[in-house]
Amino acid sequence: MSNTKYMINRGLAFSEEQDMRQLNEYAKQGWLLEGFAGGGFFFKLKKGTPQEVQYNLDYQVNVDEEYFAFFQEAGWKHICSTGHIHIFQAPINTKPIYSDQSTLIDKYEHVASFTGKYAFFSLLLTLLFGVLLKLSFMFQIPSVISYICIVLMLLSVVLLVFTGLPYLAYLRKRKKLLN
Amino acid sequence: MPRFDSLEAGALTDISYYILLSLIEAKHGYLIMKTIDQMTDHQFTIGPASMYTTIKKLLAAKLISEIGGTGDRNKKTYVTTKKGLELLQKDVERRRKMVEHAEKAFYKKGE
Repeated sequence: MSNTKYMINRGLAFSEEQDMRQLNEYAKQGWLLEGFAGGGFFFKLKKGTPQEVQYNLDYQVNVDEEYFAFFQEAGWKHICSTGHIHIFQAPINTKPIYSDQSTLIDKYEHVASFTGKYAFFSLLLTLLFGVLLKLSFMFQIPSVISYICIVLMLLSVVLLVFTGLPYLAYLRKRKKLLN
Repeated sequence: MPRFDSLEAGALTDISYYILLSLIEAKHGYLIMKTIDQMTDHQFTIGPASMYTTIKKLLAAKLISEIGGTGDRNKKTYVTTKKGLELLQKDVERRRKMVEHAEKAFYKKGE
C-alpha cells in the first residue's frame, strides 16, 4: 500500500475553509500534509500517526525569518509554502493565526491587491493580442501571424481566468468580513 | 489602503494598542508576544499573522521604528516612536473616557 496520497487543490481563493477542514479530517486518519505537488494543484499527504490538528493558511508576499518565528512562538508549525501561500499546522486548542477582524480583513486585502495586479496585467495582454489579431485580419498579413496571435490571446485569457476569478473571490471575502 | 486612516484618526485597534504599549521600551520582535502575555495576565493574545501584519502597518505609519541591527536579521528590534507614543496617549485618553461613560451610566442606574 502506498503511503503517499494526493488531494486536489480546488483553488484556495474559493475553497480555503473546505480544504483546511478536509486536511484536518485526513490528519485524523493519519494522512498528514507534507507539501504542495504538481505546481500547487495538489496537496501531498504522507501516512503517519493519526492526530487531531488544525491547518491554517496565510498569504504573505514579503516573508522573512521573523514571520516564521512569530508562528513558531505561537505554536504554529510551518508545513509548506508555494509562492505567497503558507500553510501552518497546530494542535487543536491553539489560538488562531489572526486574532481580530481587522487584521483578517488585511489578509484578503493583501492577497487581493497583488492578485489584482496579475489580473490587470493578464487583461492588458489579452487586449493587446486581441488588437494585434484584429490588425492582422485587417491588413491580410500572412495567416501564420494570425495563428500566433490567436494562441497568445488564448493563453492570456487562461491567465486572466486564473488570476481574475481568484481576485474577485478575494474581494468578495473581504467585503463579507467588512459587513 | 483606506483603513490606514483609522490609525491616524487616533482610534487604535486592541492589537496596535498593545504592540505600541509593549514597545515603549525597545525590544526584539519575538519578545512582544511574551511581554503582552505577561502584561495582561494571559488575557490578551495576538495571533502570529495578526502580529506580523500589524507590525508592518505600524512601521509604515511610522508609529514604531526598527532600530540598530545587531547583524542578526532574525532578531529585529523595534521601538515606539514619538508619534506612536502621542497616538497611544490619545487612545488611552479615549479609552479612559469610554470607561467613565460606562461608570456614569451604571451609577445612574444604581441610584
